[in-house]
Formats: sequence, structure tokens, C-alpha cells
Amino acid sequence: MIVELTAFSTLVWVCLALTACAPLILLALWLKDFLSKQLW
Amino acid sequence: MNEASGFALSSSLGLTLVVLFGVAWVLFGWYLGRANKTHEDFALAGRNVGFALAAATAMATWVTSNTTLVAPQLTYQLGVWGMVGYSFAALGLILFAPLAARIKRLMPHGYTSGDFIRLRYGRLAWYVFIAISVVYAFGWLVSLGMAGGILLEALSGLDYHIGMTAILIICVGYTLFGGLRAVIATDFIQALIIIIGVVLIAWFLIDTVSLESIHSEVQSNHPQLLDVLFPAAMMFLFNNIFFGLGEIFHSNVWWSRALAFKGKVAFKAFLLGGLLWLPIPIVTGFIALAAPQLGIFPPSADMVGPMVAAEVLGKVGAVVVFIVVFSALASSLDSLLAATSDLVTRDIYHKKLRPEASDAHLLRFNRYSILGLGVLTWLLCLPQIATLGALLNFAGAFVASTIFPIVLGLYTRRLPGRWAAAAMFFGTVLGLTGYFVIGFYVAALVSCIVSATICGLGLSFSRSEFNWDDLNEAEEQQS
Repeated sequence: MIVELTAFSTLVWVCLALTACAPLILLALWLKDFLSKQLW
Repeated sequence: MNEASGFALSSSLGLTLVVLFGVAWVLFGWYLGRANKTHEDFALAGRNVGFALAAATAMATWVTSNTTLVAPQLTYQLGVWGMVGYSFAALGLILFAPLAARIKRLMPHGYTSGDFIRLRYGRLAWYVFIAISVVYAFGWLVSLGMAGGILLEALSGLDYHIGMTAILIICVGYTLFGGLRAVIATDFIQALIIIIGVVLIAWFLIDTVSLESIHSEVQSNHPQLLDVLFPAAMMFLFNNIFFGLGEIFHSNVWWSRALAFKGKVAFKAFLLGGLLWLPIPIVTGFIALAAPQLGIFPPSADMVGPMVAAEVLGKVGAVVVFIVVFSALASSLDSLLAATSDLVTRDIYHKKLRPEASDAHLLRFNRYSILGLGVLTWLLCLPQIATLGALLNFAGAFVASTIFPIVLGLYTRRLPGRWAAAAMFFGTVLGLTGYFVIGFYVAALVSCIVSATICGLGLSFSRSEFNWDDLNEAEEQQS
């Protein structure tokens, strides 16, 4: 059973979008911890 | 590609990047290390790491040569299941989240995973566990050191031994100065570099080659790579889940983090780290499917990802690949150096050889351990003994045997030490048998099943009840 183009493309694009969001999440959390002096 | 040399980067540019990164990381490690006053500061960052740094270090440490080099390799060999199966290793981080919270609650003064095994199961299980931990730690350290050398050689033509030596010197340098604090802070920056780099490479590849043409080429010439019923690949999927669980559940890399994070941060940090990590192997893995279309047939399968990126994106792409993989390697290598040196210092030196050692003495010994581990890793990396994937999966037979003894040890009072020791020992032996007789893709699976069966028998026959308070070992302070 072969993975069709639609399924393959969807998988790659969804994963790419999720990965692209990660730096924004990490930077937002860092800013929050930094402002509340909770980094360490 | 550089027409004259056949490499994407010149040797001098490769060396320049290494030196620039090396100086930056070592200076940063030295700067952070000034806050370390005690052994606890050095080994566990004062047990006070906040959510942002905690989540980033969980994610960045799990993104390693495995994700940036081996995920494309396995996609190249096993197709779609290779990358999907690899992403399931995120379950290790996600399922460790509740365990981390419980570890922090049961052992507020603990230092290492070895502490837990010694206090929960006694000496026999501790010996088996330490042997497994040492094999795994060196397997991973050597695979990371080798990956540094392979990467530099493939991208710039620089001799394997120079690249491998350089990455070891840099990581030993900043871990030596800054301890876990430096490891975690550099992990945050490395996490950002890795993710942004991986997204850029994938984006440009899709823009240049297109997903349609990659799919069409693979479907015509290598249809098994798109087959969801590819038997070896399906076996790999399950094997990789157990491998990932075993790696995280037993390794002091993760235990030291659980113990270093602030009060209630451990659970949510591992959960978020796992969720952020989940899509990354698919983004790095699908790149390898473009290799046949581009006429790339790498001499070593673990270089397929960097070679495709360098081919499509030229010199800029090669620089991005170089920085991403170098950051991924450093973020894991530093963690492993710190965690393994903690095991050597705490479990072997302090608890077995010098129980009267002072805090300052332990801090000094911990630094010597980092240096010693670096030298030993360098010696083991000198002969390039195996591909990264083969080396990694060999360790699967060892670590998967620890999953059930760790989980049951944390949540039930009834599993006795001799049964836990037998589960880890026979799980490892039969897992290795599976590795050599059947293939790498069953080693962790066999090991975990055998270990689970023995733990199940232990629970059925045992009448003993462990006292949880025995895990909260009071620290004798020496001046």
C-alpha cells in the first residue's frame, strides 16, 4: 500500500509548520521567565 | 558544490566556523560557570532551572546526530516509516514527564539515576545498571564524536580526525567551565539555531525540487520507500519506540535534568520538549527522499541529509547544514559529558570509593571526570568503527531492558532488586542475541519484552514492600 502524494505532502507541510512555531514558543517562554526573574 | 574540490565548503571555511563557534561557546560556558559555588551548582545548576530553559534543553538534547543525520539515513533506507518511526521517539520525552515529576517528589536531594537504582534495588541491580549506563553513554558519546568528524569531512573535505577532535575539545571546554548551567543555557541557543536551520533547509528544498517531483521519482523507482506495509520498517517503528523510552528512562542525562528543574517545572518542560521535538525527524527525514532524484548516492548512508541539502542549496545551504548539525551534536555531547561525569563522581567515586570527600573535592573530581571522558571518547573515535545508525541501535538492546525496572521501581513497592537485576541482565543478553541473529530493528523490542516478562514474574512472586522514604537519602555534608 503506497502513501499517496496528498498524504505525503500533508504530513511534510504540517510537520514543517509545527517545527516553525517552536522558536516562537521558546522565545515567548524565555521572555516571560526573564521578566518575572524565573530563568534560574 | 565547489567545482575544484568537490566539497560544498572549503576546508578553511569549515575550520573558521568551528573556531568561531568553539570560542563563543567556551567563553559563554566560562561566563555562566562563575555562578557555580558548590558541587550541586555545578552538577544540577542549583536545582532551580525555569520553564523556558527546561523545555528548550529537553528538546535540544533529544535533537542530536540521531535526528539530523540518522533520521535522513533511515528514511533513505526504510522510506516513510523511517521518518515517522523516528518521530515516535518523542514518546520517550512525553512519557518521561510524569516520571520526572515523581522523581523530583521522591528524591528531592537525589543526584543521579544511579542513586535511584542503588537505593531502590540494592547493589546487584546497581552493578548491572551502571554497566548498561556506561555502555550506552560511550556508545552515544562515540557516535556523536564520530558524527562531528564525518560532518566536517563530508561538507568541507577536512580530515575526519580534525573535525572529531575539534567538537570534543569545544564541548569538553565549556562543560568543564560551566557545568550543567552552561549546558542548559547553550542548549537554549542551540535549540533555536537547530529549529530555524532545519525549517530553512526544508523550505528551500521544497521550493527548489517540489514535493510532487520527489514523490513521483520515489514512486517510480523506489516504491518500497512509500509502502506502509514495508515489514522491516514496521518492525523498526516499534523497535524505535522502545529504544527511545529506554534511552530516556534510564539515562542520567534526563534524570539530572528532572532533578535540576524547579519544583513543578519538570512535568510541563518534558511534555512541551517532546511535543516540540515530534515533527522534527519528519522535516529532516523527507529531505533524504530527494537523493535518488538528484543523483546522490552517498558513500555512507548517514551523510545523505547533509549531502542533499548542500547539493540543492549550494554554499549557503552547506553553511546552514554545518551550523545546524554542529549545534545538534554539541547540545547532546555536552549533556552526556555532564551527566556521565556526575555518575562517575557521585555513584562510583563518592558513594563507593571516597564517602568522606568534601564538596570542593567532589567539584574538582567532577571536572577531572569530564576531561577524562573527553579523552577516552577521543581515543574510541579514532578508528571509525561503524555507521552511526548501527552503533546507535546496538545500544538499544541495553537500554530497553531498563524501562520496566525503572517505571515499576518508581510506582510500585513490590518489585525486589534481584528481579530487577535479572530483568536488565537477561533483557540485554537476549536483545543482543536478537540484534545479531535477526537484525538491528528488533534489538530493543526483544530486550524490552524479556525484561517486562521477568519483572511480571517478580511482581507475582514477591511479597516484599519497599519503603518510599528510603529514597530520600539525606546528604552528609563534609566541610
